[in-house]
This record gives sequence, C-alpha cells and structure tokens, in this order.
Amino acid sequence: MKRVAAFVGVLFAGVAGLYFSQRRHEPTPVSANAVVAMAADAQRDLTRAPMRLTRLSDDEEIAVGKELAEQYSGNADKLSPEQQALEEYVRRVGGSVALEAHRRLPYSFHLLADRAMINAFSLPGGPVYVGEGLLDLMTSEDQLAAVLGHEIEHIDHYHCAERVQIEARLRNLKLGIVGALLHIPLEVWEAGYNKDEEFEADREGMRLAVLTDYSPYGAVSVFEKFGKLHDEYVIHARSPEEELSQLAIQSLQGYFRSHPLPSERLAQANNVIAQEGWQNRRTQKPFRVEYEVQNGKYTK
Amino acid sequence: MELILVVFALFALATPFATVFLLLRQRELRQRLLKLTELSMEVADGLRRELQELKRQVETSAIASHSPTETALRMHTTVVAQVAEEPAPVASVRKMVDVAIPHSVTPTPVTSSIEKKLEVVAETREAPFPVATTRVPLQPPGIQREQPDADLVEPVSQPEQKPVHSPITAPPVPITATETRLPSAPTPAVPAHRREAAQPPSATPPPLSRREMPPNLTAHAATVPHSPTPVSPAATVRFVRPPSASLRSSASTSGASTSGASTSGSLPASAAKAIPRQRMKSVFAMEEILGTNWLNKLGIVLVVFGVALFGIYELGQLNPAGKVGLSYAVSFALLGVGVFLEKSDRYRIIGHTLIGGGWALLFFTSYAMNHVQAMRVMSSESADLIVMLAVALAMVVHTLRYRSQLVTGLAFLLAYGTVALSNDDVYSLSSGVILAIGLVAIVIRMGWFELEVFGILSSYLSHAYWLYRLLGPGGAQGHAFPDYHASTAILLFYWLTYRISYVVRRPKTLFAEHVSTAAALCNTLLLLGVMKFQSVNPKLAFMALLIIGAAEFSFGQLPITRRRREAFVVLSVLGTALMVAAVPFRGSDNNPVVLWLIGAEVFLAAGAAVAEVVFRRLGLCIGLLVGLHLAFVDFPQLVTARQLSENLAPAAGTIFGLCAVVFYCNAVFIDLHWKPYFTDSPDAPLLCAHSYIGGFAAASAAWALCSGDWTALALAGIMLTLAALARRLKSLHLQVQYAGLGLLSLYRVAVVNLHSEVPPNSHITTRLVTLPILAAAFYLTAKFVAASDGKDKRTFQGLFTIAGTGLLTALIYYEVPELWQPLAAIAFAVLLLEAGQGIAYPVLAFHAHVLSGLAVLAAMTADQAGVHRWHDIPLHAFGALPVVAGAYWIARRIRLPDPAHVHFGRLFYSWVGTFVMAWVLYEAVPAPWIAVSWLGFAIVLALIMRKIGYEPLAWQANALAVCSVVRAYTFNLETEQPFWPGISQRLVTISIVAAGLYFLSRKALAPNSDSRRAISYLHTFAATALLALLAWHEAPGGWLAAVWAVFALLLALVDRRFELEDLGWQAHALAGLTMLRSVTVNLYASETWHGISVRLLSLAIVAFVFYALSRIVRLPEPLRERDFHHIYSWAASALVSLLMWYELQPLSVAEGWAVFGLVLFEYGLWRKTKQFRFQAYVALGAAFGRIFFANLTAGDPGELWGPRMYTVLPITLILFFAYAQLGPGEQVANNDRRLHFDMLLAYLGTGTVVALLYFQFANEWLVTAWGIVVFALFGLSLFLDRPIFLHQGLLLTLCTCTRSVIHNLFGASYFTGRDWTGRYFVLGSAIAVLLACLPFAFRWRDRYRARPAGGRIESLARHPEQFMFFAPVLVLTLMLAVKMRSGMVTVSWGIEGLSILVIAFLINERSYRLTGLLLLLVCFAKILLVDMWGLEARDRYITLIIVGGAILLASFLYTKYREAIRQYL
Repeated sequence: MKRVAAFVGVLFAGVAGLYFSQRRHEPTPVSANAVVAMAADAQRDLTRAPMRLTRLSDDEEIAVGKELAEQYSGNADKLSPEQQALEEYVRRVGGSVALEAHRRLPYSFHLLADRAMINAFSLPGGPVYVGEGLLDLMTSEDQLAAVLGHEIEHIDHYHCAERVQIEARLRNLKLGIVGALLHIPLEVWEAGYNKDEEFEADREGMRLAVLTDYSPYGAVSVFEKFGKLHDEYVIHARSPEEELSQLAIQSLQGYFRSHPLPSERLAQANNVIAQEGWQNRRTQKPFRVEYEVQNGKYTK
Repeated sequence: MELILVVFALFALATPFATVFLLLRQRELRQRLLKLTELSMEVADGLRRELQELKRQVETSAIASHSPTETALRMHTTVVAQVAEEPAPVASVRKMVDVAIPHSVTPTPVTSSIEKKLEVVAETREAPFPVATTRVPLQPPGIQREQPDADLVEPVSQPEQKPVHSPITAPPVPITATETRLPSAPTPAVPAHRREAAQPPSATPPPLSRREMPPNLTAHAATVPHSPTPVSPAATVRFVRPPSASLRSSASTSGASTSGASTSGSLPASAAKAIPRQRMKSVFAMEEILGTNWLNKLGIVLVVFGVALFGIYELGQLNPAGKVGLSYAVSFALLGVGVFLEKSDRYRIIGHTLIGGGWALLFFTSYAMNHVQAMRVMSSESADLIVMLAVALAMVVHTLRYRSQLVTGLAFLLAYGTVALSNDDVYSLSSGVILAIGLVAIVIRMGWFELEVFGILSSYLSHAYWLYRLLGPGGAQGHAFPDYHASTAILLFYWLTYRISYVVRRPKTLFAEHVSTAAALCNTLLLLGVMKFQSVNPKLAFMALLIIGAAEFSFGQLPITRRRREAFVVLSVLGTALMVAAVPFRGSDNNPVVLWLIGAEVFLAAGAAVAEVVFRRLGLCIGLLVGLHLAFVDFPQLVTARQLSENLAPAAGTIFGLCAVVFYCNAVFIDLHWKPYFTDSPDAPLLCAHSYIGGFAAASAAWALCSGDWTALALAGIMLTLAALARRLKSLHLQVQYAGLGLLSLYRVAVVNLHSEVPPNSHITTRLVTLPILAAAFYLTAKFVAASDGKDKRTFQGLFTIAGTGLLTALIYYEVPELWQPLAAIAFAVLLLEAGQGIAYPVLAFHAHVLSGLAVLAAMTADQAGVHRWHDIPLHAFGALPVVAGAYWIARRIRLPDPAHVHFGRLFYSWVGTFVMAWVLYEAVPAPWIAVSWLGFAIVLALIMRKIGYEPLAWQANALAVCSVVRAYTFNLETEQPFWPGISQRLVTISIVAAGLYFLSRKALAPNSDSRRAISYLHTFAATALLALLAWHEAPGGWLAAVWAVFALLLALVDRRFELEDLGWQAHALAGLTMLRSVTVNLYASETWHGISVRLLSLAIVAFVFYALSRIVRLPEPLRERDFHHIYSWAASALVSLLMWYELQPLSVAEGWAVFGLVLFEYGLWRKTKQFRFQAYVALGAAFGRIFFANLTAGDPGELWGPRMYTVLPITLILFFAYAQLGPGEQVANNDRRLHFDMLLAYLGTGTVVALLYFQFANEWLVTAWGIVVFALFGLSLFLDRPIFLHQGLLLTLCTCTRSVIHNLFGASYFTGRDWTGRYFVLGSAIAVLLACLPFAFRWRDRYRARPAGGRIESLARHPEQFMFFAPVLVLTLMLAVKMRSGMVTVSWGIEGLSILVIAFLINERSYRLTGLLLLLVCFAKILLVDMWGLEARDRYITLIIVGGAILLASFLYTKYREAIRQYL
C-alpha cells in the first residue's frame, strides 16, 4: 500500500510539473547553453593551465596588439567630424576608466564608424574598439563607462592575450613573426569570450566604473537594453527537427560565442551592487558630445 | 650559476650509474638470500629428520652399557631430541651445541653422517667462488664472498672462529653467526637453552631481525670469544650486513628458525610458500631501506652542498672568516652528532652518514680557506696543502676506525663534489690528487673496490669540469692553453695511480674482480675522453693511443697480472684495441686494411702457437674489422667508381682479391691444422665470418675486374666454382655463398642482360647468347646441388631450377607476339607438366602452374582496347578459348603424388576454366542480357553437375548466380528501355533473374553440402529483395512504408500458417525497412489525407502493425526466450516518444518522458515484463539528458523556485523512486539489478542534483558545494548501508579535485583572490571537507573487511580511505606549487612531506607514510632537476639546507619508529 501511495505521489509530482510547465506562457528556448556552458567552462579551465605556464609578457602582448590593430588603422581617416567627436568622447571616458586597471598598458580607444555594429571589443595590449551602433543605444556616460570598463578588463585579465595564444596554437602561428597574426580574422575578437570571462569582465568593469565615479546602474541599464534586443531576435523552435537544427547551430556558435544571457548578466550586476552597497549611486551623467566644426574639420 | 649547473650535471651523470649499480647489487643480494633461505629450510628439515632418527636410535639403544663416550653422546642427543621435538632452528642447534659439547666428544657414525651432509651443502655453495681466502666451517659461501656495499654494508671486525671439532657444532644456517656487531635486542642475556625453555612451545614469537638478536646469542653461536682488536684485513673475513630488505627477509627467516617451534614443525608444508612471502616482504622492506638508509644520505648530501654553497656565494651576510667559522662549526657539529649517534645501535647508520658528511665539509672548508674567494682567509698554497693533507689523513684514519665503506665513501665523494664546485686554477686540482692518493690507499688496504669506481669517476669528472670551465663546451679544439702539460700530467698521474692499484690488488671474490674490471675500463675510457677534450694536436692521437695501448698490453703481460685471468684478459684486450684504433690516426693515405690484416694474422699465429685463446680471438676480431672496413669503406668507394664509369678498377680488385685469398687460406689451413682450437663459440662463428668475408671479397673482385653483360657470367662462373668446392668440402656456408652469388647474377641479368629498355620483339644478340648460357649454368648448379647432398638440398635445387625456367620464360616473353603469347604460354605449361610427369620431377609441374597463370593473365590483358574484331566480337575472346581448353586439359591430366593436391588442382583449374568462360560471355553478349546469360550458364552448370555428380560445378553455378544478381542490381534496375508496350525491359529481365533464382534455390545445391539451407535462403532472399526494389522503382510514394509494413505482416502470417521459415525472416527485414522509412520519411511528411495528417495515419498504422508483429511474429524458440520479438514493442515505444516530442512544449518534454518512463516502469513491474522496464530506463535516461537542453537554463537567474526547480526535482524524485523499487527485496527486478540499472538510476538521480548545484552556485564555491555533497553521500551510504552512494562520493571527489585543480588553481583570475581567502580558504575549505570524510572512509574500510570481496568497482572502493586521503593531498600539493612563491615551493613541499610522515607514524598508516616519503624524494629530485638550475642563490641554499634537514629528520623518524614498518615484515 505504501508503495502504491508513493507511486501515486511521485506520479502526481511529475504530472504537476508537467502541468505547470505546459501552462507556462513564457517561451523556453531549447538550446545547448547548459552543455555549452559546461563545455566552455571545462575548455577554458583546461586551457588556462597551459596558458598560465606559457603566458605572454606585457611587451609581447603590446607588440601583438599593435600588429592586430593595424587591420583597423585605415578606418580613422574616414570619420566624419561628428564621429571624430564621438571618438574623442570615448577616449576621454575610456582614459579615465583605464587609470584604475591593474596593469599599466597603453590603452587606446577607437570608434568603428558603423551604425549596424552594436558591439565593442578589445585587442591584446590595449586597443579598445566601440561600434557606433552601440553608442546609439546609450543614454548616459555611465553606460559608456561600463562598456569600456568591460573591454578594459578583458585586456587587464589576460583574456585577450590568452585568446591570442589559443588562436596561435590552433592556427599554428608563430607569434614572433611579423604578419603571422593577420591570419586571425577580426571576427574572433568581435565574438566575445566564454561565460566566466564575460562575467569577470562585467564584474571588474563595474568596479572600474565605480572607482572612476560613475554609477553602477549604467551597466544595469546596458544589460536591460541587451535583454530587450535578445528577446526580439531569439528564435523559438516549433518542432523537434527545428530544435535539433537550432541546437546544432547554437552549439557551434555558442561554443565560440558563449556570452551569458543578458538576464544572467543583469542578475550578476544587481548582486554586485547589493554586495558592494552601491544602491545609492543611481545618478547617471548624460551622454553628451560637444564639438565644433570649422571648415569641415573637427576642432574641439 | 654555471658552476652549479656543471657540478650537478656531473652528479646527474654519476647518479644513474650509481643507482643502477646499487639496484643490481641489492637484487643480487636479495636473490642470494632467498636461495640461502630456501637452502636453510631444506637443510633444517633434513637435520630435523636426522635428529628424529637419532632420537629413535638412542631410545632403541637405551639398554646398552653407558661408556663415557656414550654418556656424552647421550647428553648431546638428549638436548638434540628436545630441540627436535620443538622443531628447532639452526641457532637453537648452535646453542644446544654449546651446552652439549664437552671436551672429549668423539664423532659417532650418526653425527658423521650429519657432518657429511653439511659439508656437501657447503661445498655446493662454495663451488662458484674458488677464491675464498678464509674458510669458515659450514659457512655458506654466498655470505663469505660478499663485499661490503657502499651504502648498506657495515664491515664488521669478525673475530676469528676457531675450527669447531664437533661435527654438529656448525649447522648450515650461518646468518646469526655472521653479525657479531649487530645491535642488541632489549632482552637480557639469558642462556640460550634457558630462554628456549622459557618460551611456550606453541607460541610463535615475532621474527627477530639480526639487529634485534641478542649479542650473546650470536656469541654463543660463534663459540669463540671476541677478539679485542680488529684483525688485519687480509685475515679478516668480512661478512655482509645485507640491505634492510634482505636483512628483513633473512632476519625473519632466521628469527623464525631461532624460536619458531611452530614454524619449523610445518617446514615441509610451508617451504613452497616461503619464497613468495619472502618476496612480498622484501617489497615491503624497500620502504625501510629508503627511510632508514637512503634518506639520511640524500639529506646529508643536500645539507653539505647547501652549506658549501652558502660559503661560496658572496652574499654579504658574513665575512670570509665568519663563513669559515660557520662552516667549521657545522662540520664539527655533524661530526659530533655523528659520533654520538654512532654509539647507538639503532642510529648507527645515521651516525655514519653524519660523520661522512662532517668530514667532507671539513675538507671542503680547509680547501676553501685558500681557493674559494668568498672564504679566503689564507694565501699560502703550501700551508693550505698541508692543512688539506692533514684533514685528509685524519679523515682516512678516523673513517677507517669504523671500517665502514659508507663513512669513507661518503666523506670522499662529498669532498670531491664540494671541491669541484669551486675549482679555479690548476693548483686547486691538488685537492683531487690528495683525495685520489688517499682513496687508492684505502682501497688497497680495505679491498673496497666499489669505492674506487666512484673515485675514478669523481677524479676524471671533476678534472673534466675544470677543463670545461677553462676551455668551454667545445674543448681545446686544437688550440694550446697554458695548463696543458700540467693537466696532462695530472691525468696521467690519475691513470697510473688507478692502474697500479688495479695491478697490485688481490681480489678475493669473483664479484670483486668484476668491480675491478669496471674500474679498469673506467680508468682508461675516462682518460681518453678527457684527453680528447683537451687535445691540442690531433696528430698526437696516434702516438697517444699506441703508447697507452702498448702500456696497457704490457701491464697485462706482467707475471703479477697473469695470475689473475680476468685482469690479463682485460688489459690485453684493452691494449690491443687501443693499438688497433691507433692505425687510422697514423696520418698516412695508405689503406689500414693491410696493417690490420697483418695484425690479425700475427695474433692468429701467436694464439695458435702458444695456445692462448685471447690472442686467437683478437686475431679473429681484427679480421672481422678488416671485413667491416671492406664492406663499409672500400666497397662504397668501388660502387662510387663503377657508378661513374664502366672502367675496370684493378687496385680495388687487387685488395679484394688479396683479402679473399687470405681469408679463404685461413679457413682452409685452420680447417687442416688447428681445427680443435676453433670448434667452440665464438671462435667457430668468427671463423665462419671470415669465410663470408672471403666470399664477399671474391664477388667484389669479380665486379671490379669485369664489366657489361659479362659480369653476370663471371659471377655465375664463381658460383659454379664455389658449388664444386662446396660439393667437395661438404660446406654449408660455401653453399650459402654460391647461392648469394647466384642471386647477384640474377640481379645482374635483370638489370643488364635482359635489355628491357629495348622495345618488345626486338632482336638482341647478347641476350640470345647469354640467357641460354646462364640458364644452363643454373640448371648445372642445380645438378651439382642434387648430386652433392640429399633431401635438405632440394630447396636449393628447386630455386636454381626456377631460375633456369624463369630465364626461358623471359626469353618467350621478349620474343613471342602479344596475341599468340596465351597460346605459347599454355602450350609451354602443358609441355612442362607432361615433362615433369615424364621424368618424375614434380617441380616442373609447379612451374607449369605458374605458366598457366601467366597464360590467363596474358589472355585477359592482350588487346584490351579490342582493336581486332570479328562480327563485333573481339578477337581476344577467341584467344582466351585455348586457355579455357588448356585449363580443362590440365584439370583432367594433372597427376601429383598427394591425392589432396590432385583434388585441389582439378578444383582450381575447373574454376579457372569457368571464370575465363564467364569473362568470354561478358565480352561477347549485349549488356542488358549479361545477367540473364550468366544465369543461364549457371543453370547449365547445375544441370551438368546433377548429371556427372561433380559438386564443384554447383558452387560455380551459385557463384555465377551471385554475379547475375549483382549485375541485375547495378545495371538492370536502372534500365528504362521498354521491352513491350506497358512492359519495361527492367520488369522482364529482373523477373527472369528472380525466377531463375527461385529455380536455383532448389536445383543448384550440392548433394553432400552442409550449406544447402543457407544457399537456398540466399537465393530466395535475393529474389525477394529484387522484387522489393522493383516495387520501390515502379511505385514510389508516401504510403510505401505502410505497404511494406502490410507486406511484412502478410509474410509473417504466411510463415505462421505454413512454417516457411525464410519468409519469416524476410518479414523482419521488411519491418526494419519500414521503420527506417517511417523515421526518415514519414515522420516529416506534411501532406494530409481527407484532412488528416498522413504522418499521423501512416505512423499509427506502422505502430499498430509493430505491436501486432510483437505478438504474432514467429521466431525460433531461443530467440523468443530472449525477447527478440520485443524489438517491435521497442519500435512502437520509440514512435510514441517521438510523437510526444512533437506535441509537447519544449520545457515539458523531459517531464513527459519521465512520466512515460515511470508508467512503463510500473507496468513492467506489474506484468513482470522486463522489456517494458528497459524501455522505461531509456525514457528516464532521455529525460535526464533533455534537462541539459531545456530545463537547467530555464527561468530567471538566481531565482530559487522556478521552472528549473519544478521540472528537474520531480525527475529526481522519479529517478530515486525507481531506484528504490529495485531494492534487493524485489525479486522481479533481479535481472535489472544484474544489469546495474539500479546503479544507473541512482547515478542519474545524483547527477541531477550535481547539475542543479552547478547552475545554482558561483563557480569558485562549487568545489565546496560538491565537497558537501560528497560528505552527505558518505553519510548516506553509511546510514543506508548502500555502497553505491560511497561510489558516487568517490566519483564526485574525483570531479571535485579535478575541478579544484583546473578551475580554482589554474583557472582562477589573475588579480582576484590575492587575499588569504582567495589564495587558501576557498580551496582549503573544499580540501578540509573532503578530508572530513576520512572517518566515514575508515568505517567503510572496516565494514568491507567483514564482507567478501565484491565486483570490480567494489574492490576498488574497498579502501576509500586511500582515495579520500590522496586526492585532497594531491590538490593541497598542487595548491602549494601554484600559490607559493616559486623559491619556496620545494621548501613547502618538504615541510608538507615531513608533516604527512609525522601524521602517518601517529596513525600508523603505511600508504600515508609512503606518501610523505615520496614527497620528500620528489623534493630531492626537484632540487636536482629544477631548483639547482633556476633558483636564485639564496633560495637555492636555503632550499638545500631546509629540505636536507627535513629529509634527515624523516630518516631519524624512520629509524626511531622502525618497528612500525616491520609489522608488515
């Protein structure tokens, strides 16, 4: 009898779970995020040991960053006066934020004049690039500081350097040879890092921004915007074969681009704010660019 | 820095040799002791039987009169009888003898027999060692011949033993008598017979080691008082104190025999088991060897080097005087502590080690006072030399006081090592000279020849290191340097000193002689190596080698040397080798072959004249060297010359010819005059090699003196000559040589004489001339072979015959036109067959077979393009018909001695005929009807078979049918041509083929074949498959799966009704195809039928058919008993699961599968149908996998209760509920448990929890969370008594530790966690939680002890305390390695190892103890391999001193708690 009762109880629990999950209106994306997160976690951990043992020196990293940055060097001459002003604004905010980084590197900040690019990325040794599309989303300077702090921390915590090491190993490139790094496509840097590294960059980037007297809620508002974008573009499968095909695609993409979900990043940001006691620092500075144009040239 | 590197490189070079030597030495000692133990047991057993016999005789003679002699004998035998009743070991017998031997005992016949037996044993043991100087009565010579070991041997001043006159006073177990300086055991000195009497007879006392054995016992055993002064080495019999491993084993044996009343009683039964047990104990004793004997040596090495480095480096902490004072203080402290500890038996080895280290440091300090800049307090070379001489003299005198090779060796070698750290000028090498003189003096006086080996190494290597610093890594490279002459003088002084030591010594044992040989070789080789390194004029090499070689040879001929055979051999060979090696350095362009050849002849003649085997063999070896020079120097030059041109090479030809003549003369004259000297190995093989060198030289000479097409003829001529010679001398080796020449001749024919570069059908005169001559030569050689010998030469004869036939075949190939070659070849084959059968030589028949194959090949390759035709039929098809006829002719006419071969030949040729005929049909018949024609030919063959009864025709018919099916499948199914309006050619031809197959399935069966049924099945299956494929081609569509399913159902029903078994199998095949079609096509169908989804309808029909098939399908009973019919229910359940996947929300799929699995599980339990339970397990497993893709990442981050929880936790509940239902009380589920499904469910349940934690906790703390789960699993396993949770805990521990290492250690952030919590607390908490599981683990170990051994997994988990200790300790060790400052890693590991060692001694856990020991050894290795090369100077000497001290402390602990180790012994 006890057995029957236990069976009924367990069956009831299962059916209840089934009932609640069927009743849930929010769509649940089927993805390999869990597996990919674990795999990326394991992969990162497994690569960290050799990375640590063969870490690049700061000078080597700076040299590598310069060589990689040459691929973007032609962009600067085509900026409009407004874009030049935007770039100067980014440099000013980034330079102040970078003062609080752990490593003394020649950080530099650049604008990518592409309104479709809602992204930012960094290269080893100090170069940081921000897409114009991402700046279009911003409404406060604190948001920009959060984004730049995030990218600085990717450099500061050797994420970029380790990415170089991994890519060089995968592509059988020799770091000491000039031009060898041109074989690494730019998409690698735009793709982002694994979950742990992104969380670390978020966390430490917020710390940099706050130390530079910016509001931590700049990061919160950025993540909220990212969440809305994610909800707009996420695809929900309607059949198992769609699930499987999406799984395959997401697994391949997600392994290399395993940014955490915006909701997770938002949750971490709120947790950090609560832990550090930053709830009172809500005031944000407006995103304001001032410039003058004389004879078609940016002057201030 | 470079200084340290090179010094340690020298030590690294010397360490492997020393280690290998010591290991070999220990292994030899262990083997000897094992043999000795076995022998002792046998002798003790025999002695016991003798004593029992003696007792019986005494009892029977009790009524005899009691004369004084008989009285004494009775006293004696009474005691003996007591001992025999309590089976007494040898030591007891010795004690008994002390009591029993009065002063006037006369040997009785009984005791004489005992004596005789014991002497026989002693002689047996002494036989291999004839050099024994002092004979100890009944002492096993295996002991007597031992030499003290550098590390393990303590030379003992053995008092002289008076010869014991009583024959019974020296029983043949001498071990207790050999160690007169063994430490005393705490037991009081009770007389032996009283102590024995006090022991209860049934108790088995613990085995006593020799150290623990009371000295009075051994003194009694020796029966003579100790001599108060040490005897001279020549008169001293040194006995081995074996290494601890051997000591333990021998001690336990002797201990057991000393008191083992119970063990000796069971000696015969336990003798066979004794050796494995002894081996196991010796393995256990390795730890004691390391702990008590090796660690202190490693530690003292580190400490001495550390203190020396502290003195050498100018770090500014102390002035030179302070450093000298401190170094002297440490030296005297080491000496004082060593002298103090040496007085205690227990700590004697440590004391010796400290004394050795102290003296080494003292000598170094004395040396450094003048020669080390940072410690220089003295500026006078002579004064410092006097001080060093005084210290060396004191070192010699004091260390010799202990007669310990360990003390002396350690002092000298460490002195060498430390001094080598700072040698700066040639005067500093005077310390090495002093040490060498002292060492040689000690070696000659004490006979410690092993020590001299290390001394030689140290002398030359330290000198080489000095040269390295002076000249660089490349050496002198021909450039003079100022100290060259001084350096050469020192080197020659070293060489002469050690060589004189070698010549004047008197080794007493074979082993000592071998060690001396090693020293002699090292001396010369190292001298040559170092002189090469400092060579300033390469032209002097000739003189140097010649002079040193002559000196070595002269040393070998001295009378004092010739008394030692091994020394004579070594020096003679060494000298000769050096002189021979000197010849190429003579600087002349002359070929050294001539000089070597003269030397070889001189040595051969001298060896034969004075009957000295060494000289003869040297001559043979030099001759071999000549051959090697010819082969690898002269011959390549000849090849190069002949590649450039075809001109003759008379000079090379002369050299080769001369060598050929000399070597063949050697062979002939030796065979005639001195054959008895050359019958054994290696003389005979070397002489044989000379013969081959002669053959090689003769062939080379022929090549050098002939060219073009005539080379082959010349080689063939030599071949014929050698064949005639071999026939006369009956020499097998000559036979091999002319065979090789024949091969060379053939190769030459193939390359040159065939002229294959000329187009076919061209007439070549030389080819026509030379090929028949060569063929004749080969046939003639074959005749010589046949005439000279019997059966064993047939192979040779056959090969030469093949060569002749091959040459004629080649002639046909090059002369006959292509289309006529099949006819010519088959005709030649028939001719050979008939000729072979005519002359009764079957080899020719085999040649005919090869030619037949060539004929077939020629037929099928001739005119492949089909240029020549007759009425669209290619002519080559007609050309093949003679081959068909020839094949059938040979099949009919073949005659062979073996009937089995005849059968095989006929079978083969009939197959060949059929194959060629099928090929003709393929070439001649139009393409669509080839399959039909083949099938028709198969039917004809089948009918002929039924008529003439020749079964292979049936097989050929079946093979043709297979070809027909393949042709129909690959060609006819794709044919779209119409045959008749509405009827396609595909339908007609495939129907005919299918009909033919059905016909053949009944008619083409061999009457006596076992495969009739299988062949019939194949035919019907092929027919059905062709029809099914025909349906697919004729009527494709979405309903095909349903049609196939219904067709399968019909086949199954017909099979069930008429019992046509093959139809049933065809139904299964169709069902499989249906399932495949459903999954790949129907599942994705989107069309509808009357508004209803075709997918739903078709899958419903298929599922219904499958469920029906699972009930009605007919299977053989064994398969049905194995539930094969449930394949259909599996398929149906899979379809249902797929439908659920399609219908439910993504988040609900895992839940739905879990509920479906639960229902299936309960249904399977209720109906007792295991297949439904198995399906449930699959569904539950799928649900588990599904949560990783939808459920674990569902909901919002950080929320405690959300979709992740309420969908995963019910699955966990379901899994654990199902696991609980599979408990031991559920009889229905026995099979499930046997297949470990219960384990699977439990693991999946725990896996869900672990996965939930992974996604719920921060990454850094995950290891701690998992550690807590491990703790809970251990507790749960103990509470429920379910080992599976223990296994899960162990597995999770592995995961935790792995993650700790790769994530928390190496994956951590570079900048966070620098505080103590980040560095140590997070990971430390996980390690602490894991170590907290150890009490549970120890309880599980106790619980497992009471249970019988289980399966493989359980056997691994029977000692969880090991894993739960080692895993966290490993993480801790890595944590120290990663998070400590690099300079302090070794120090922290040393402290960790010492701590583990202390804890292990406290809880008495051997594996933990071994871990600590291993960690300390790793520290030592790391210092040697890493730290010495990379650390800063300060960290380096701090590491050396601290780790050395820790190792010394560990050794002290091992010595102090030695009994804790011996519990395993």
